This record gives sequence, structure tokens and C-alpha cells, in this order.
Amino acid sequence: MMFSNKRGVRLPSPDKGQGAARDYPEPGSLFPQYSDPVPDDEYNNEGEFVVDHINDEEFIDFTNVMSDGKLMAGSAAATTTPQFKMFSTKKTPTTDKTIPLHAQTDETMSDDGTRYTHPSEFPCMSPPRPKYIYSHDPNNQNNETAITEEDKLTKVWIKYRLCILLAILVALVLMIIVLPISVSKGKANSKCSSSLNKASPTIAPSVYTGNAYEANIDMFPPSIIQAQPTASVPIGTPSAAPVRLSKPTNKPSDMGPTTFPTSFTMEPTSGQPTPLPTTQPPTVPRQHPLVGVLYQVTPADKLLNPFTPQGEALSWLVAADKQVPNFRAPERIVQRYAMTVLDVALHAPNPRLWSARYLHECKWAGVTCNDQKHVTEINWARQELQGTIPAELGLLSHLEKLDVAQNNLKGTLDPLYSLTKLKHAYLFENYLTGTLSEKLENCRNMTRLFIGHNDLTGTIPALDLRPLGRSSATILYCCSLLAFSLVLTCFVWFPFYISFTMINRMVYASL
Amino acid sequence: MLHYNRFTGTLPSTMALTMMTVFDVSWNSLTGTIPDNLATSVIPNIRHLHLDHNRFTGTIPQSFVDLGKGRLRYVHALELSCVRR
Repeated sequence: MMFSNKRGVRLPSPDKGQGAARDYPEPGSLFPQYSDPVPDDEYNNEGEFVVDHINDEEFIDFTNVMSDGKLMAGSAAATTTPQFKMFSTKKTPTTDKTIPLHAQTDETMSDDGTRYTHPSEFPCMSPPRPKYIYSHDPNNQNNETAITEEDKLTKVWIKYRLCILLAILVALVLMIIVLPISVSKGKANSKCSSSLNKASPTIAPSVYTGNAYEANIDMFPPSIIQAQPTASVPIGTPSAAPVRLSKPTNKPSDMGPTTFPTSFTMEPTSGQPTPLPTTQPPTVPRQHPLVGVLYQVTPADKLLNPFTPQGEALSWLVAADKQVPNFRAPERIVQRYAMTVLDVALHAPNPRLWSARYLHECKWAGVTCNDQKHVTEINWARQELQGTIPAELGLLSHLEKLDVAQNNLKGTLDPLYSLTKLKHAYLFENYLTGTLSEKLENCRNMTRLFIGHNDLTGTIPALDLRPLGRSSATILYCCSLLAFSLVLTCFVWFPFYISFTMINRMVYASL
Repeated sequence: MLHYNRFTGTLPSTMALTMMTVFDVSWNSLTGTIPDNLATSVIPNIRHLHLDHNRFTGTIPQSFVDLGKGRLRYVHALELSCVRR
């Protein structure tokens, strides 16, 4: 509002103003002190000034004044500050009070005690046009210098205010940016975050660490790895893959999906028995939408190998599943895939639950979901499960209870470390190997961890499972930042603003 | 519940398992001494404590006396310094 004219303020056009300077009576003849141009309303069609009646009681200047004291009009009005001027030609005609628009009060007492009603008290933004509108006398040197000084002051204050406003805005934006960054930093500082898939934040974190994940990055162009949220079909993108094929990795070649089964050898070290009685499992084309989604959570060598539980689960999902085509969100697809992998990997020798695999995974035996259809509990204790716990268990990010106790499971505890909501973990009386890692601190809600009667080795890490243990510092930092911004806003900026307006008012009142 | 494994080393005194009510490290190969602050800061809300069948040395810390006055219900510290496995 400060930089734009109020509606209803009539500005004299420049050409008519110049014409008025010619036709206007000599300074001091008609009005002793003011010989200003008048707005266009006071001209007739020939450009002559029409004087109907003159009230020398008071003149309200309602024009815009430029810094050099000249009249301005038209588009240049946006660069100056509209000002009201009040004159009292009776008593002290040389003193005028210029008050900026925003610092106006409703009524102003003149020197002689006359009460002038200020135009800003009219709420309709169009104050009644004063009888005569005058600008400053260009011949009055004192008045001109005063105008330039006060206009300079005004500009300085405006700039100052602008700077402060900008600083506050920048501070707020920084707060908004810094807050999630610091939170994520706090998460990154915890030792478990290396297993999180940073390339796909919208999807459940990948459970693969280290070389496997990097190999996944290396094998596929970033357009696939970072393909985001919906089931994006990476059609055409595999053409970019062969650029990196020359890497001496032991990954399967990218010659094409049809050549995949030939390039693999069975790996008896993985502990997986031959999963299917079928001789030739179906191959899944890489252009399938499911593959595009699951690239982000599973290394491609496992996903496209039909002899791994991952590949078998994928081929089953593509070929036979009736649930996945109904899923649109990658979260749902990933959960379906993870549960299928669990079923394939653990129930393979004892396919009692296979008949139930066609159902929604929330209706499987021993599986409990919440209202959002997220798997929260898996109760498969004493089910004669065999096989290695797949890393895809870590994709069930909403899992709160895992009970696979008293089975014949192998593998490590690594899939547990990305289950941040896990509260109860019953894994006792299995054949788990490996160590207990400090990454368990990622499971902040863990209250029951039963891993007895296994073959775990190593030392017991110095776990810190206090509620909000190490992240409390981060939260404190964020809270302090917020409090600081609040204090800055309330106790620094606002008094500054008030004092600016007060100083403005005082400065203009003294001039 | 880390019992019946092959964990080695000592019980870290900087561990903080404030939510744990059951702590079972029995039948492992833990060595060293039982940390003094085990009952105060490591597992302050402990109710079941199993330290048996390890290779701990030294003495039972004084804080265990205070544990007995609290909510502790069960301590299995038999053969505390015995060498098993």
C-alpha cells in the first residue's frame, strides 16, 4: 500500500500540469504562499484553470510528491510515497505538516487547534475530493529542501524496513529448510542409517548395504534408480544401461531378459534349496512396471534371477498374482513383494501357506495389519520355517511384532535393523549367525528382543535404547532454533517496526 | 534375552537399556567384571536378570543390593564366575 496510490486519489496529468504553470496566476497574487498546479478537474476543456471559489481556510494537499519537489503523475506514482499535506494559511501558512500515509491518525490537531478530519478515516478507500489540491511551491526553496530531506528519510526508512523484512523472511525460510535437514542429519548420525536407501525416500528403505546397493546403482541408469513415485514403466531406459556394462563386476549381463537364466549358476552357498519343482521358471521382462518399482528395493541380480526367492516372488507376482494389479502405490507393491518373498523363502519346503498366498497379505495366517493395510505383526512361531531370513523383511517398515521363534531359520539379524517401529522381536531357538550390531539402535521402540539359543557371536554392543536417546540433541537443537526465530520475530522485529513508525512520525512531525 | 549364544567380551558399561525389564545374557562367554552401574544406569528398570553361566570375574557390584529393594523379582546368578562351554 505504501508504494501504490490509493484509489480515488486524483493525480494531475503532466501535460496539463505544465499548461497550468503557464496559465496559473503569479505566485502570491491569488494565494500568498502557494502557486501550485491543480488537478485536472479544475481545468476546463481548453486547459484553462477554473477558479470557482477559494477557501483560504485550509488546503489539503493530496498529491504525490517526488523527491525533487516536482509534481509527478502517471506511472511514476508507484515509486513515491503518497503524502497528505495540511496547510493552514490563516495562521502559519508556511508550515505544512507532512505525514506519511501509514502513520496517519484519524484526526490531526493543527497549531491553532482546528480539528481536521483526515481522509484516511473514510473506509471506502475513496476519500472525498478536497476542494483544492495544491502541490508545493517550486519557488519556495526552504520548502523544497525540506521535501527532499524528508523524502530521502522516507526512502531510507523504506529500505531499512525492506531489509529487515527480507532478513526475517530469509530466517524463516532457513528455519524451514534447516529443520528437516537437521532432523535427517540426526538420523544420519545414528549408526543404522547406512542401510537406508537414500535414492528412494518415498519407498520403504532398502535393506541392502554396501556393495550390493552400489552395484545396483552402477548397473542401472539413475533414471531407473530414482524413478519416482508411481509405478513408472522404465520403457526405453534400459538402453542406457550398457554403458556401464564394461565394469568388471560379477553381475549378470544386461544383454536382455531372455538371456538371463543362462547366465546364472546356482549358488548353493545361499542356503536356498531349489525352490520350485518346475524346471524352467518364467522370466520377467525388465520393462515390467513391477520391476521398475522393485529395482529400488532389491538388487537387480537377485530380482531378475528366477532361482532366488526374490526372483521367484517377482515372477509369481507378475504371472499369477491377482492382488498386485490392483495396487497403485509403490508402498503397497513393495509390501506385497516383501511378504511374497518371505513366504517363498521361509515356507518353501513346507508350503502349507501357499494356498493362501493369493489372498491379500493381511489375510494370511499369522499376519496382522492395521487400518491402513500395513503389516504390523507376523506370528509364525513354531511353523517349521526353514531357510534364510530374507533382507526384504526390512521393507515391512510398519512391522511392530515379529515372532518367528522356534523355527529353523538361518541368516543374520541385519533385516531387523531397518524396522524402526519394531517393538517385539522373538527370534529365539533358531540358527541365526552373525553378530548383534549397534544398528539395533535404529529400532528405537524395541522393548523385547529375544535372540537366545542361536549361534550369534561377537561382543554385546553398547546399545543406547533410551527413548529419544541420541536424537534428543537434535530435537533440542530444532526447538532452540524455533524459539530463537520466535524471539527474533516478537522481541526484535516488532519493536523495531514500532520504533520505525514512531521515528517516522516524529521526524515528519518536526519537519 | 541374549542367552545361549556365543557372545564374548564384556558387558559394556555405557549401555543404556532403560526400557528393558528382562535381561538375560546367560550361557554366553562374557568375560570381565560386571559393571558397577549395571543396575543403576544400564538396566534401571530390570525385573528379571540372568547372568549365569558366563566367565565373569570380580565381585558382585554394590548396586545389586539396591536392586533387591526395588522391583527386581528374579536374579539368576548361579555359577556366576564359573567357566562353561
